[in-house]
Amino acid sequence: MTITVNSKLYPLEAILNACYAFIDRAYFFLDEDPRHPHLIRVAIKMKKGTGNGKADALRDQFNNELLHCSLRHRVSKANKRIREYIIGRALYFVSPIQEGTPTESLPYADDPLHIAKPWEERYGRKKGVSTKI
Amino acid sequence: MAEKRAFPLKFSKRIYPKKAVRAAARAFASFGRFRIREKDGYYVVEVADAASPLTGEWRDEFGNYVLGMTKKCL
Repeated sequence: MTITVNSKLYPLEAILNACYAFIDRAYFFLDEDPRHPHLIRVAIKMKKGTGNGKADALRDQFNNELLHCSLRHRVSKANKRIREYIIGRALYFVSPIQEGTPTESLPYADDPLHIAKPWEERYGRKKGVSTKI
Repeated sequence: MAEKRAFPLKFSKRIYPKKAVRAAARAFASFGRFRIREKDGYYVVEVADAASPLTGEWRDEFGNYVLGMTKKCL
């Protein structure tokens, strides 16, 4: 079964993504039409055990997936700059070590908040609690 | 030993990047000796000294692998 797709309507990335979505059920081979370079021929061959009767269903699903991938590609392209901006900002604020952070000036052995002290040293042992194991 | 050549596979340069075809050839290297050449806007893949007869299914699997690699290259 061969489907001809117009690459002016559906970008090549969308065609490849649509093929990839069904790679577990069929074999895909893409070629360009020698007379019309903007037309891409998608040869689909069902894999063994998937059933020949399902070829028509796969073709319809492929057409829908093609539309879906095309739309995703368009949205992704339109939002590229804002996506990069958001990621850039997020990464800027989570940079691990910034200049002037207190961790640089303090030695690790200091314990200004007294969190390194064991519970027993600070509050003593509870009465009647055995520590034998 | 007589050299057995599988029918050549042709991948359009406009659709498939060379990187993907080469990656697939590397992955399938255990099946035979691969040679990729460029001709008339196509990457022509030839397989020599195939360890076992290369069936149509093998060819299809190779095509799908190149497709997968192409998607990775996007």
